[in-house]
Amino acid sequence: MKRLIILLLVPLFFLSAADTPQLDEKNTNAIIKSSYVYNFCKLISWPQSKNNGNFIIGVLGDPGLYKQLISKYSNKLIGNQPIEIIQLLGTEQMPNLHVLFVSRSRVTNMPAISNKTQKAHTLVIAEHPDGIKNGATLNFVVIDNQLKFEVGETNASDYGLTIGITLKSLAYKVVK
Amino acid sequence: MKIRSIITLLCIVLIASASGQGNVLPLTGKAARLYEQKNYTEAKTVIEQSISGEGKEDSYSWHVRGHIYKEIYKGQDLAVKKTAKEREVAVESFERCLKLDAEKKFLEWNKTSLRFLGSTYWNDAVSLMEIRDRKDLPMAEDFFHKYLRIMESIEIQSDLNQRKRDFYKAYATSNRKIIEDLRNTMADPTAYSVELERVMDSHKKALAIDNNDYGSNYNYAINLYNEAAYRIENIPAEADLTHIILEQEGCIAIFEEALPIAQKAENLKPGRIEILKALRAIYLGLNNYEAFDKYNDLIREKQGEQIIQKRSQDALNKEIFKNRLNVD
Repeated sequence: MKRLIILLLVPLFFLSAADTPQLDEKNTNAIIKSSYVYNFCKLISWPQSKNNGNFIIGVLGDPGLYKQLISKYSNKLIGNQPIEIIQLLGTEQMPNLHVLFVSRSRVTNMPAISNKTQKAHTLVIAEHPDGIKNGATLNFVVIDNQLKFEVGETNASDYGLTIGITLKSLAYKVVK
Repeated sequence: MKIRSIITLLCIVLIASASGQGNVLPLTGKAARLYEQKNYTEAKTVIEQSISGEGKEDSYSWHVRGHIYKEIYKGQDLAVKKTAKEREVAVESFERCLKLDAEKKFLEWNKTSLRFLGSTYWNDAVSLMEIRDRKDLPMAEDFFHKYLRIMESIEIQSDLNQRKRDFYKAYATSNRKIIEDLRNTMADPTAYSVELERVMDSHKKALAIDNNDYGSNYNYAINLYNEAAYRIENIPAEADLTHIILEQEGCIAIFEEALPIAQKAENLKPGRIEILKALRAIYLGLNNYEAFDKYNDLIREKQGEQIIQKRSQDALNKEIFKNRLNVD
């Protein structure tokens, strides 16, 4: 009889604190954005003058996105151009960029840099409700918790950029 | 002879006499004698003859049958013991005896045997969850259901709900660990969809039993978050926009499912840093920057408090140490 009772008491030893799932926290927002940015680069055409040397992507703010771009795309090519990724600390000295990502915390810098970026045919990507108004060609917006993007068509032509049809068709909004 | 066997043997003999079974059916009596002699194979053949004829409606015959099959099950090799049919036959026999035994002569003996067999199912379920063999693990849930059914049939008074909740938490853990192992070794992350389904299903079952259990809510929320984050992290570098958009949609749905569960966990144990971190991560997954910032600030505040607490404790310890030195 004793044995029978002991049998019933076999506990779930392995259900200890060490077995509770650990949060595997990722910067999911940055991962998605980096995939978008890489695709933007593939679906936009730059003027002939920008088709030589490295394909330079600058990131202003958002160190998470910078890290993600470095880890996933720093060894990729856009056309024949190797990708180079730069984390910008300020806007005073702006290198000759193909792409400039401006984080939501740095949106106030946009009017000051629009002259430089326009001259350099830089694709400006923002993530602010007024991103397109402030000169961005592409702007991340959050719709129903999802990261989507809008296209500033006029800004694109002002900056000498050609937006592919695929990009326009997948955009949340195309702003004339 | 082992004490256990003596007890079992006494059970049958005593029950037979104490219950006034002066006229034990001939085949059943023969089977009981063969059982006494430990000739279980022959006893099995004879008791089968009995219950298919004269002993069909005789509670004692079913009781003897239960004991014979129970002993055969106990003697099985470990490799086949878990799936031995004899255990099921033993359970079925004791249950049949319970139904036929209108005078409840064998009630306690049947209950004891069923409790024993039920606990072997529980133990087997636990052992499968510990071993975590991908192929065999689903049997753990089958065994647990058998355990439950038996315990309910003998009206066990203990809190089976708590046992159910604990089982499903453990079952979710075992399946999750299989997933974690597979993620490290597999190229195709969708190949563990069956295990994933089981993890989520187990969490839902645990919550259905006790919606206010912090651990069940927290574990479920974390598993949901981790799955979505893993899928996002594994978006191929060359994925096109359509792929990204679709994958994001799927993951947002998972984050949305995780959010109320994590919030519930926070309500149950407010201010715990682990759940604050989970909420921060989920809000970032949902691209809700405002809520992300709010939880980020809360975590910093908490971490600051912890540092201050640790420093004060260190200072206090130093003071105590100094005082001791002075006293010594």
